[in-house]
Amino acid sequence: MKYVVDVEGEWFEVEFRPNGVRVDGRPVSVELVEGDVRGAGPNSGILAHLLLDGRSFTIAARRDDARAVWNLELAGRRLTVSAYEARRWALQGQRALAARAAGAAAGPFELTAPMPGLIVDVEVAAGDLVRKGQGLVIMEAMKMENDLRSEVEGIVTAVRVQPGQTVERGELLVVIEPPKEDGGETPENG
Amino acid sequence: MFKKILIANRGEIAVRVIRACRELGVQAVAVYSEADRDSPHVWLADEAYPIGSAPATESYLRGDRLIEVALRTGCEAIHPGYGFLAERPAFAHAVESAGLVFIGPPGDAMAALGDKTEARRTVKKAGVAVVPGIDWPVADLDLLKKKAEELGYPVLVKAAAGGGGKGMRIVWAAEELAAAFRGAAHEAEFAFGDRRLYVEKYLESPRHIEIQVLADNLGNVIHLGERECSIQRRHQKMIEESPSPALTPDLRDAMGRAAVAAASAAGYHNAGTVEFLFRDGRFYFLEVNARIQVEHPVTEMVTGIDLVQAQLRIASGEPLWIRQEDVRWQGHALECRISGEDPWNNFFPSTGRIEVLRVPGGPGVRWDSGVVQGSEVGLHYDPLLAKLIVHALDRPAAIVRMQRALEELVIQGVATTVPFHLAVMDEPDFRSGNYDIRYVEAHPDLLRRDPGDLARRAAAVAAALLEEAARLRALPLAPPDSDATGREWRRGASLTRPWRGSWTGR
Repeated sequence: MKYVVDVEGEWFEVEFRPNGVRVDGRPVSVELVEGDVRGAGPNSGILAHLLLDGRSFTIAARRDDARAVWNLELAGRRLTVSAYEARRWALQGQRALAARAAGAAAGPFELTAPMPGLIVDVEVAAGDLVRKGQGLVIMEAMKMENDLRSEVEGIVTAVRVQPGQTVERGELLVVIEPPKEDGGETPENG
Repeated sequence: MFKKILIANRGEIAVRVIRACRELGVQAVAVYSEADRDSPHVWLADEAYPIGSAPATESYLRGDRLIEVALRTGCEAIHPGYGFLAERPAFAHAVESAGLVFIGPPGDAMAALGDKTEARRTVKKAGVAVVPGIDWPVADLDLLKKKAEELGYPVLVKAAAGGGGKGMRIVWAAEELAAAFRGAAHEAEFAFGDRRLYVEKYLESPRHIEIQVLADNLGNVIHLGERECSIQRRHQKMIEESPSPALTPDLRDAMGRAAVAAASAAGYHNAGTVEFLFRDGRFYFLEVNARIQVEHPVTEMVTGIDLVQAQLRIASGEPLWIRQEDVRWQGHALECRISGEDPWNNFFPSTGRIEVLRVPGGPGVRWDSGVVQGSEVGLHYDPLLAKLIVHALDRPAAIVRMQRALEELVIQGVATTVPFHLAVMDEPDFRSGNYDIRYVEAHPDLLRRDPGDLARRAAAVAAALLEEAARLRALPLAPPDSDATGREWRRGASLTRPWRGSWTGR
């Protein structure tokens, strides 16, 4: 079985053969031990230990099933890694790349709750024009108020919460539609 | 010395106080909320009693229940730890009037210092420089606005009852004042039950340096030198060290004397901390923290003085046993706060079960923790899980030691600040000691360090192996050996058990 692996833009070919493992065509010695623990919590993952040509790496790994990527943490660094089966690479990998390229340009900005908490205030309403960095929702968690801000400029198309409401992590709060590139609809200032 | 005391706290500080009790031969009584039944502080205490449900307002903040347990179990004193009721004069007074000893300053001194504006007035009289600002709290937005304009923006709106960065807002321009006023008042009300605010000039880019003091009940006060606490995020300290890379012996001496003067003027007893802002060789009084502090271990490491034991000895009436001229500082100590906050997601609180915990050890490493493997981390309490402290001969050696200790530390199941700390230990400005309280803002790319070619390669191989393992797991009926590539995967005896295996090749 051969995998094509994307490590944040750097590509590797990892091939498992009956007689050994090859990375980019060169044989390597590999031993991976996966920890026994596999919890179901929001921050659960796999704790693995890898010996790669004798070099030791302790790796915390979490699979983001929605995006089909692995979030790996090693030596205090985080790496987002996609491993595609080579025979499916042409289809899956290209599509993922295309989606990633497109995602940067289009699509609404969806503000979701970064943690469970209480909505203290909603600072915008549907139809409002917001600047990048403008506060949208004030949320209280861990006794601290957090100002959740817009990452884009655009128009508020939906507000899904109101003050006093408690929300779960990941719950959709506000949707902002970026201005259209081609139309003359982008207002100058709010 | 007391025979038995009650510890009105949880987590790492409750464990810390229990340890001091054990070493002094004092019986330790713990209390716990429903969420904390299975916690280290409960296991380690001599006795432990439930005090209510998980929310702190129904347990650790219930002063009446804490005093009731202390009286019922024959305790002579209550140690409040930090946070919760530690700096509430009403609680200290209630403890005193129940005939118990409050291990901390007298309630009146605490009240005088806990009101930050009164503290400013007190230390000013003792000749200590304070940050320019107003010395009386204001409840009215218009008045606050007027005062802010007199000081000139930026200003800091602060809770009169504040501390720990709660109920505090930086205001850069007049139009931001109303929102800051509302937010700070709300937060202050929630955190301290007191929404009064005051305003002071916001000093840009100072260092935060604090002096540890010890004062006995007879009026003897000494200081144990400084702690540098400038590595902060949103006013929450993250890394502390002693000595400060910024102080000369003369400055240390001057700050120490100012701290002693401030504590004396306030009628302070027990262990306390006098916080200063430091900039361009000048220091300004900020506030007194009338409690044991989270970062007390760095002072313990360089002075060899056990501060929690000192608290108990002082509270039991013992006169100070150390003279100022006998205090000796040796080497350098660093502390990293290991919090359940996700540095990859804007430090938002992270919850879950600590599935794996591998604690570092070896020379000069200290681990003060309130959690173990298997602990559940929820949202009810402060996210601080543990403190990693190192001591070495000098600052460079302490940094290297911290680095290797952080590399040994493994916490799985809850996202923690460990990657942040590793990044700071590697960062040139921190290594040179040239930093101030804007350090974290000034280094937004701290976590985006190049992992290096070897690690990227390892990540690629690991991801491919994990993907392959996941694929094999998804084939429940196919014996792994039948798969052309899985020939050498070893699998657990039962398919329902967690998968464990290794691939050996070459």
